[in-house]
Amino acid sequence: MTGVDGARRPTARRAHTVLYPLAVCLVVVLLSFPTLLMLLGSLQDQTAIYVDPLGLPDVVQWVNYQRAWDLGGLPTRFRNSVISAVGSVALSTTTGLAAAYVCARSRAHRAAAFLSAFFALGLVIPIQSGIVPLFLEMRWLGLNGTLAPLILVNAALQLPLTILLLTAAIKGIPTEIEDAASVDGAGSLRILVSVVTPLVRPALITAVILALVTVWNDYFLALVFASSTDLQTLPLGLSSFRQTFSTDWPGALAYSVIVAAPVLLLYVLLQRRITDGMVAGALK
Amino acid sequence: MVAPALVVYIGFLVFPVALGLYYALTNSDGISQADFIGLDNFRELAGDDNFRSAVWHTVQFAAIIVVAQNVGGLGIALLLNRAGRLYEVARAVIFAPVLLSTTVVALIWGFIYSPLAGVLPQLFAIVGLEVTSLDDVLGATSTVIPGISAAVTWQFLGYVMVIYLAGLKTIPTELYEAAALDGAVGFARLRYVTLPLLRPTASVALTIALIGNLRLFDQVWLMSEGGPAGASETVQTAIYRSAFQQSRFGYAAAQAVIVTVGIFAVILTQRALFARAERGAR
Repeated sequence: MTGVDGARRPTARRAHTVLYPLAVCLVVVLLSFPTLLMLLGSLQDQTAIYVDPLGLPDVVQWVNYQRAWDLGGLPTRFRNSVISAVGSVALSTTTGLAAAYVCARSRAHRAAAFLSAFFALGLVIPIQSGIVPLFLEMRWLGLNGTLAPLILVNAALQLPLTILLLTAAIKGIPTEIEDAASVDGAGSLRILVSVVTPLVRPALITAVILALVTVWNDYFLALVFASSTDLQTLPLGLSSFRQTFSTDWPGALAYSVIVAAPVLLLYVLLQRRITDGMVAGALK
Repeated sequence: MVAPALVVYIGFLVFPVALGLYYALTNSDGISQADFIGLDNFRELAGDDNFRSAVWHTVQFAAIIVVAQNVGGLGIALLLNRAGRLYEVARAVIFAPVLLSTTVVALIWGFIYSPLAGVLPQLFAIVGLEVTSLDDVLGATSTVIPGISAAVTWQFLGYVMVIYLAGLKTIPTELYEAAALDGAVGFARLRYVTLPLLRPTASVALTIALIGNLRLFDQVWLMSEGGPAGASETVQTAIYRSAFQQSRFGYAAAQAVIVTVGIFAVILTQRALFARAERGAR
């Protein structure tokens, strides 16, 4: 703080040191209210929630989670979510890493710059614009009715950010190490895998996490390509649970907690990586 | 080595979007042989009142959410831009909803707005108010757009906040010290030092918010399906409806072309305005 603050009257100073944190706490409580309400409602009794939706449950109703799990067909949806998230992120990360290596290290600078810009365009293209042709393309490829469209389209959507983050990371490492490996006779794929990849591990983890979270949460693509019961992912399962059991708010809120839990757990573990990665994606 | 990424990216993003230009000129229904019908879809679109009101709703949504997110996000960033455990935790908690699925957010806010559960009336009762006009937020034409906007604003407030926090970090402390010597403290400091230097950051935050909200689909579809009586239909829900409920694939593709061009036009205009303001300030 500057000297000007120190010149203030003591009462003003005290107001500042007490009221300021209080204001912060108030903002936090207000903004976390919807999330807290989800947790609270997920433990509330099925009838009591209509009488006193803000009240604490008399007896904590873990059975809501059981109901969501059984009636919401959770095992299948969990599996579908995992397959499409892991599949698409594996595809976008491996192909994206190779592409980023070219963007960062190609000696044809103008071509590399064009390539980077071409991939960056994907950050702005609204996917909804291509949804009709995509749907017909997937049918033509015979992939409708499988999880493949979710994997392929999500991978394509994740590539721009993955390539952007990894290109920046690769540019940040000195070329001497690669030159030495190249003198030793290693080919470029070999150099990428055993020299470059270990050095960009932090950026790689960030890219993987951001992509996993986005695909895990996706609703629009799943709505178009995976609406049949056996293909539904968790977000779709949640919305169909809500429609089918429209009076069961505690069950639906418990379902929400189950959908949100893996992502929030990742966030608790890797908070800095996630926020920094999202800011980096925005600022470039 | 770039080939695999190009195949995925072009094959499942660039090519379909480009192919939309072709489908826009056909009467494809997704099943029978499509005929080339020239600009008929666009002619019909020009006189389509439903689409016109969808455009107007999209503009309303974007205006409300973009302004609320940026005013709120900037305010919270200024409030929380200090060192200390409390502020660190506050930032983390406020960012958390960004990572929730839109289905989860729509469900929570659907519960808050539910006329049967009555969360809102109870909240008003706590502060001693009796408000009956908000008994069925999503079921009334006058409140459905602000109601959904509140949910979207809440979810992405933390994202806008971290962008502004990153911008605040780039302002050198020497500038604040120099401003203090000139007698600029409190609001004067905010007005003449912080805000002008945040202009590039604001441009980025606005672009991101515009890109996200001009293509609003999930929350609207989940919370109101564009209703009641089309009162919250956006261009994206209209496109989805044409394609997957009415099987008018060609018409949906034409709508998508107009919308994509419109979104790019808005964003390029916004960036150009900010670039000019930036030059003018120097």
